[in-house]
Amino acid sequence: MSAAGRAETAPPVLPLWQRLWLAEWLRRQEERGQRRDDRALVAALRPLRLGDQEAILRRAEGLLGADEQASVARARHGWPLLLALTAGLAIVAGVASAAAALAGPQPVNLAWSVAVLLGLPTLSLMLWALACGRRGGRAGLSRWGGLLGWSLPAAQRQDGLQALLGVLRRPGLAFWSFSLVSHLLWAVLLLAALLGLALLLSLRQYDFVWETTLLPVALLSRALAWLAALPGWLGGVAVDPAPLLAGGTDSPELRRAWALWLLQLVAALGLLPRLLLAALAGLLWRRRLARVGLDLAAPYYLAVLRRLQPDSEQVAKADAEGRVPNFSLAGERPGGRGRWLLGLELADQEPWPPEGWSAPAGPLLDSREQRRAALQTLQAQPPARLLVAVDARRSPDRSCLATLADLAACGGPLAVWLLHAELAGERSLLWREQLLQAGLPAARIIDRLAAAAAWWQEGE
Amino acid sequence: MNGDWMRLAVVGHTNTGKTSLLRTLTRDADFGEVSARPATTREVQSARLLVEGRVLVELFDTPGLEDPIALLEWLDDAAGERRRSDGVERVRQFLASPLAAGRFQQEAKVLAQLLRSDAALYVIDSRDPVLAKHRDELQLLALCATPVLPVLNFLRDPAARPSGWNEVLGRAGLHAQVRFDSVAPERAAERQLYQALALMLPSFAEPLQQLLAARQLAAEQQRRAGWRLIAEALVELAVLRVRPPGADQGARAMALQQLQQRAREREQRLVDDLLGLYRFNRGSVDNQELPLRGGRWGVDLFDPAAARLFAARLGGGAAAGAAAGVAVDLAFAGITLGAAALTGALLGGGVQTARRYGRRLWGQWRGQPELRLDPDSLTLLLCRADYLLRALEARGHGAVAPIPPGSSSLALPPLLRAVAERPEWSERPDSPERERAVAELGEQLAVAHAAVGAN
Repeated sequence: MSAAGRAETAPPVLPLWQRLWLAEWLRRQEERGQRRDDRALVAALRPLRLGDQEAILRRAEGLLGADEQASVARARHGWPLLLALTAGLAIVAGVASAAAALAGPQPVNLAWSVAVLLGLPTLSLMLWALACGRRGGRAGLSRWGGLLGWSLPAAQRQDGLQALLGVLRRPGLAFWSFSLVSHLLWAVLLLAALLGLALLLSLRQYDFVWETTLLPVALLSRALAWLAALPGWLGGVAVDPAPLLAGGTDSPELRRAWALWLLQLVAALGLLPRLLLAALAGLLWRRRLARVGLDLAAPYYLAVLRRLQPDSEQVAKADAEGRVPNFSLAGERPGGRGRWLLGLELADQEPWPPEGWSAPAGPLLDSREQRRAALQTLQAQPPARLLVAVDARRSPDRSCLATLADLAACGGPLAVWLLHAELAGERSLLWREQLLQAGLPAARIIDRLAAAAAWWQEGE
Repeated sequence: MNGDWMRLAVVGHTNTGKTSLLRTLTRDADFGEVSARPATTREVQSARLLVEGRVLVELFDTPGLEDPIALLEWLDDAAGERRRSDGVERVRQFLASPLAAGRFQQEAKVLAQLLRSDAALYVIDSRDPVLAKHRDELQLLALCATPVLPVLNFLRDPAARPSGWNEVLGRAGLHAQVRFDSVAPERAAERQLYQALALMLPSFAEPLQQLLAARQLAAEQQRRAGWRLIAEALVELAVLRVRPPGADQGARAMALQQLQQRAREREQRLVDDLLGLYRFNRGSVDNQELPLRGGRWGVDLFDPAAARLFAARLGGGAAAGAAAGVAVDLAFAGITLGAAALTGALLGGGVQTARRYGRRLWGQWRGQPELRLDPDSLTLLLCRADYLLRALEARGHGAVAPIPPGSSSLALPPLLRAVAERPEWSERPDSPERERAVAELGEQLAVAHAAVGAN
C-alpha cells in the first residue's frame, strides 16, 4: 500500500530523462523475470487517467526499490563537481598553451604560436565532425553517457547502466549532450588561452617573425592570408604581412599590430566556432530531450499498458445470487388410464413419431396453445404412462422442466426420451443431471428407441 | 443509473454464447464463467468498455430467458384486466408482482435490465431451430420497447440454419442483424456490430466511433508488438553460435543438436509470447482453429515436412525438402566485419569486444569453427511465425487455413543478415544496440507483412 500511496501523492520531481531511466531499469528487471506485485499500485493509478507514458513512469517510480531511486537521483549530483574539475583542468591547459605559444627563443615564430594555440582544438573539432557524420562513430560516442553509471554500486551496474545507455542512445541525446559539454570545455580552454595570451602580451615585449627553413616562402605568405581571412571578414584589424615576411617586427606599432592579430585569430578561429557549436548542440540537445520517450511499441510496455489502461473492467455483480426454483418430476398418481407419447419442443424437420416407433403417438408440444390443450386433456383423463420425447441436442432449460413437471403432475409415471442423445455429447449429460435433480428416477431417462419401446410395453 | 455512457443489455435464450460474446467484446478472457451448463450466469454482470480510462459502453450480461412461454402467458392474462396499458407498463406491473421474485425471478432480472438499457443485443444460437419459446422471447423483448439488435452466433457451425431465424426476426420487425461467431470471430464482425448500433442509436454514434477507432489502433499496436517479438527471436537465433567441444564428428553432431534444441526452445517461447500477446490461454487455443495443438506446432522446425509446407516461400535447399539446419560460421574469418561495426567496436566496445573477436579468430585457426543456424532455418521460422500471427489476428478466419501457393516469399530482411554478423550480441541480450536493432527489424517486418497481406 505504501507503494500505491507514494505514486499517488508524489509529484514527478526528477527530470524526464531520469524518470525514463527508472522505467527502463524496471523493464530490464521485469523482463528477466523479476515481476513485481503491482496490483495495489495499478488500482491506484487507473482512476488518475494519466497518459500512456506518464502512467508507466509513475508505475516504475512506485515499484523500483529505494536503492535504484537513490542511485538515479544521485547521478545528477556528481555532475557539477565533475564539470568544475574538468573546467579547471581546461583553464590550466589553456593558460599553459598560451605560455607555450610564446615560449622559446626570441623572436617568437608566429607560425609556431598559431600551431600551438589552434592545432589541437582544430584536430579535435575535425574528429567531432567526423563522428557527427558517421553513425558508428556516434554510437560509440554515445557510450560516454555511461560515465554517469560509474557512480552506481556494482550490483546495479548491469541493469542500471544498460538502461541509462538505452535511454540516452535512442534519439541521439547522448551525442548532442557530449557535443555540448565538449564544445563548452574547449571554449573554456580557448578563453583561458586568450586571456593568458593577452596577459603575457601586456606584460612582456615579444618580437615576431614568420619564418621557415624547409617550406617555400610563398606558402607561408598564402597561409597568412588564409588565416587572416575570417578575422578580417569579421571586422578585425588588417595587418600588412610584408614587413613580417621581410624580416620581423622591429617597431612597437608592428609588434602591437601582430599581437592583436594573434589574439583575434584565436578568438575567431578557436573560440567563436566552439561557442557557436555549443549553442547548436545545446539547442539540438534540448529539442531531443523534449522528444525523448519510452518505446511504447515494445511488447513489454504494451503489456504494462494493458494493466494500467485496460480495454474493459468488470463491475461487481449487480444482483445477489438468486435461488433457482426446483421442479419435481417425482409426482405419480395411480389410477390413470392409457399411454401417451408426447414430443416437447422438437424442430419442424424432426420426424414425428420418431423413426421406428410403431405404437400410436400423441401431439407435439411447442406453442402455448398446444401445451395448454395437452394439459387440459391429460388433467381430464389422467394417463397411466407418459413418455415425453425431447431433443437432447438442445439445452435443458426451465421452460422444459416446468412443462415436464406440469405433465408429471397429471397422472401415472413419466419417462423422458432423449432423442439424438448420441449426437448431443455434453448436453445429453446435462439433461440427465437436470432430470435426476428434479427427482426423475434414472430408469425413466431413456436414450434409445428399444428402451423406449420396452418401457412403453411394461405399461400394458 | 448515473454516467452518460451507452448501456447495452446482452440477452438471449439460455446457452447461446452471451458470455462468450462479452469476452470477445471486452478482450477479457476471464469474463464471467462460460460453460456448456445452462444458466451458468445466474445474475446480471456488467463489463465496461474503456478507452483511455473513460467508459464508453457498459455491457450487461443477463441470465438466460428460460421460461418465456409461461411468462408471456402470465403477462397476457394480466393484460386482460388492464387492456389499455402498453407493453412497458405491463412489464413494470410484472416486475412489481410477487411472481417476479419467485418463479420468474430470472426473467424479471432480464426484463428489468432491458428497461434500464439503451439497447439490447439479442444473441441467437443459429444452430437452434426456431421454436415457440423463441417467438415468445422476441415478443417479451418487444414489450420493453428497447431497440434490439439480433446477433446470430455460431454461424460457422455446419449445423447453423440462419434462414429460419431471418424469417422470424423479420416478422418481429428486426431487420438489422449482425453475424458473429464468438468462438472464432472475424475482425470485421465487431466493427459491423458497433456500426449497426450506431445506426440504431444515432445519439451514441460518436462514442461508438471512438471505441472503434481505439480498438483498431490497439489492434495495430498489437500487430507491431507481435512483429517485435518475432524480430527478437530471429535476432537471438541469428547471433547464436555453438562451438563443438572437439574437432571430431561426434563433437560436431553434439553441437548441432545443441543448436537445434536452442532454436526449438526459442521458437516455442515465441509461440507462447505471441499467444500471450493476443490473450489466448494455452488451453483455449485448440478450439480456435489455430495451426497449433496444445500451444505447440505439430511439426518440428527441423523436420523436412515443415519446410515443404512453406516450400513456395522458401528458397534453396529447404524448398527441395532438405532439413533446414546448421551452417558453419565462416563469416567471422574477418571478411564480413563491416567498417561500421569495426568503428563501433573500436570506439565503443573497446577491449572487451576486441578480446572476444580475438578468441573467435583463435578458434578458427585451430580448426574449431563455430556453428550457427543457416538462413533457411531462420526463414522457415519467420514463415511459421508470420503464419501464426495471421491466424491470431484473424482468430480462426477461414482464409487462414490453406497457405496460398506461390504467395510472395518472405525473405530475410537484409538487416537480419547484418545482425547475424554480431555474434557478440548473443552474450549481451540487453545491450541497447541490440534492442535497437530488434526494434528496427520488427518495424521492417511489420511493414513487409502488411504489404504481403495486402496482395
